[in-house]
Amino acid sequence: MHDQEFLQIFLEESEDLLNQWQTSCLNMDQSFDVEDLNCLFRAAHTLKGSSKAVGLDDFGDFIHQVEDIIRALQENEISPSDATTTLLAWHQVAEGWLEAIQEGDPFDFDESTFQEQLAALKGEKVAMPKKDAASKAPPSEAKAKGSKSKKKDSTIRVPSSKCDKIIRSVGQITTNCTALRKVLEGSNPDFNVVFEFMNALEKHTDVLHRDTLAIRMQPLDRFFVRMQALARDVSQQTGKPIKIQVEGNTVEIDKAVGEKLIDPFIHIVRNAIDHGLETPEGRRKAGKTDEGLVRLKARSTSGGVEISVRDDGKGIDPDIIFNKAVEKGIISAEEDLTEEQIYQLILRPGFSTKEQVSDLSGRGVGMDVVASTLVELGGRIQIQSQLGEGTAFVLSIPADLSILDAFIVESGTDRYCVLLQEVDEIIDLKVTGTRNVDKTEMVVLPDGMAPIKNIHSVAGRKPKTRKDAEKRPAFVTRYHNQPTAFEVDRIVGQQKIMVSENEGAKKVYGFSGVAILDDFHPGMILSLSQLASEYHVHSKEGVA
Amino acid sequence: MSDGLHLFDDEEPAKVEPKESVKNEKKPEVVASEDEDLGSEFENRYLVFVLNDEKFAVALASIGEVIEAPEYRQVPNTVPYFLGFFNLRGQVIGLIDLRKKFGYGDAEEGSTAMVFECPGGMLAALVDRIDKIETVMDEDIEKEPRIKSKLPMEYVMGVSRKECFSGVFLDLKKVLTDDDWVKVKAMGAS
Repeated sequence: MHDQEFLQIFLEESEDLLNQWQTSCLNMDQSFDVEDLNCLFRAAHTLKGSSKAVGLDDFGDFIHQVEDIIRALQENEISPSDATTTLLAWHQVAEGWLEAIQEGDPFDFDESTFQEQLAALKGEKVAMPKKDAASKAPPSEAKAKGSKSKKKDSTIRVPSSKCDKIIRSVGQITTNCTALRKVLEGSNPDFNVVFEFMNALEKHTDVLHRDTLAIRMQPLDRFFVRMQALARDVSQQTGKPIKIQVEGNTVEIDKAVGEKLIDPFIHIVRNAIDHGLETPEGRRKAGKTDEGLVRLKARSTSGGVEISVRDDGKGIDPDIIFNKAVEKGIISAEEDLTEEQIYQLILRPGFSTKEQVSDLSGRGVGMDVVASTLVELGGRIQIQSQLGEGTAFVLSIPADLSILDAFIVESGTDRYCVLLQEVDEIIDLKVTGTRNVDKTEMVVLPDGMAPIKNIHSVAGRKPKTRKDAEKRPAFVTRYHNQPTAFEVDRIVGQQKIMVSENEGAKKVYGFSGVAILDDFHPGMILSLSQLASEYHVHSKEGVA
Repeated sequence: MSDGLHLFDDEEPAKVEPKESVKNEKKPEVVASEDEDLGSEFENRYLVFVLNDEKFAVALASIGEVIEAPEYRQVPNTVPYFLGFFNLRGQVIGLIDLRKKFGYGDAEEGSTAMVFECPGGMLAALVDRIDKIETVMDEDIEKEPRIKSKLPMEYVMGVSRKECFSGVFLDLKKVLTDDDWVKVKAMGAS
């Protein structure tokens, strides 16, 4: 039996070391530098030492042999270009192994493959077939998929500067509280002084709040390293040489959000290389360089973080997509869609064309994973494309999940929250006017007709009868670029809400959770995206 | 320096949280607990409550606290016995009407709520009243009993026919799994 606590510390540290391992290999692959090799050696050496210290002898032996190869590299006995692919494959093995330990699962170490790879590297230094090693390597994306998401209670490593800030804020609050109490206990408390303390307390609580949230924020560099490794893999498997540019890896994102983004980005990056980029011959014909360019970029925006994946490939042909969608029964041929709306069709469940099924993309999960994850995170996806020039997937993601801006709305006697991030615009149906199409009340918007749904019906209650002069406020949200209007009785106000941890509330139909409102009572948070998606899915089923 | 000391002097009392009023005065010391392994203090101790003149017992260690029936906000698209959510010192807690759940009609005026932790979050169950805390030894509990009851048997952990407590032992977590109360989807939604 391992000492659980030590083991846990080891596993946390090993995450960093494995990351170092991967980064060094990727760097060496781009251009060889002795410093990267030394860094790799240090990572492996530490990993070996500490794994033996916690009693993981088999794992330690494995790393020990890997270390031998790195040493051989350092002594110029083997060439780095041959070794990087294998070292990256072993990185995947090590990662899988440690994950199995974390989960308490048995790990099936493929000793014979490992020995073959070792022999290949040590023995025929020159004749080492690169492709062979790559194909024997475990498919990294299968490993990457779901690996992080199933982790139990994850830990966060926090730089001590962030902790110091929190301690400072708490200190300020404590001091102010004590002083305020003194004032209040005095014989004749001066209200101006009390208010001053109140203001100070509010200010410090705000700061504390922000600093506490900052604990969960982690830079995206690891995320990008993962994507680079994946891109490299796909590039080798498809035989399409690529150049990867990464920008903004210091941008921070909530750890939980970052982990949820891994799966969608696996699909986007893979698609960009597999489908977006042409073959080297195709590129030459189009007057492009052999190497395809894939750019990963993150930047902070007012509402959160924007992460984009751009390729300089052949672009998406809207006509092909449109026809395929009609063929699949996803849309009807008469539908009048903008280009952007057509691009969004590739995110629909069931949209996977025969041409698209290759050994890379035929894993049963498609781009609809991207769409569903974004709905869950309250994010948006934009697809831009230019035929012959390339395609861009731009994902806007709220920076953190716990504190959100919301409208408080009234519907009958109920009060709900509507998340600001889900609202595209607020309209007054009295002003815009409505019309009836097939017994459904619709409102005409610049980009199409939006069905009107009353929140009463979501809540299964009867809508109240309105007086004619009343306003009819409605929130417009777009699901796959199709607008839906949600009518409420009244918009009461706007406030920041802290989403409760109550898991049950997240499962209630039509809602994404619960928060405490400024009247100190809980208010359910409406999920406009869920409701809009249900509506459009149902209406499409009705057509087909 | 002496000023500082002076200030910290009266800090302590301010930190004491106001005790939540406990409806039943017999045993107010129902302490928050999360884990099962609380040692001998909670072992074999049961909280006995009354529902429609019947007595039920739940493991004391599973109950976080006992409070007066709270004011709550209704939640649509849930089962009828899920009354809604309320705010308990900043925490959102779901309120369950056990009478309704067991088919005894609606909760009565002046009910009491037992707060406990469920996998989906904190829940509180409304019962008529808390009777007492009783120690019942394992050997006095008849497991897998053959009794006539309209309760589904999976809720019943056992029965006791002893003098100190004669009634049914319930597993609250089984009675109220979170899936249970959210499963109902809106009818008129689409």
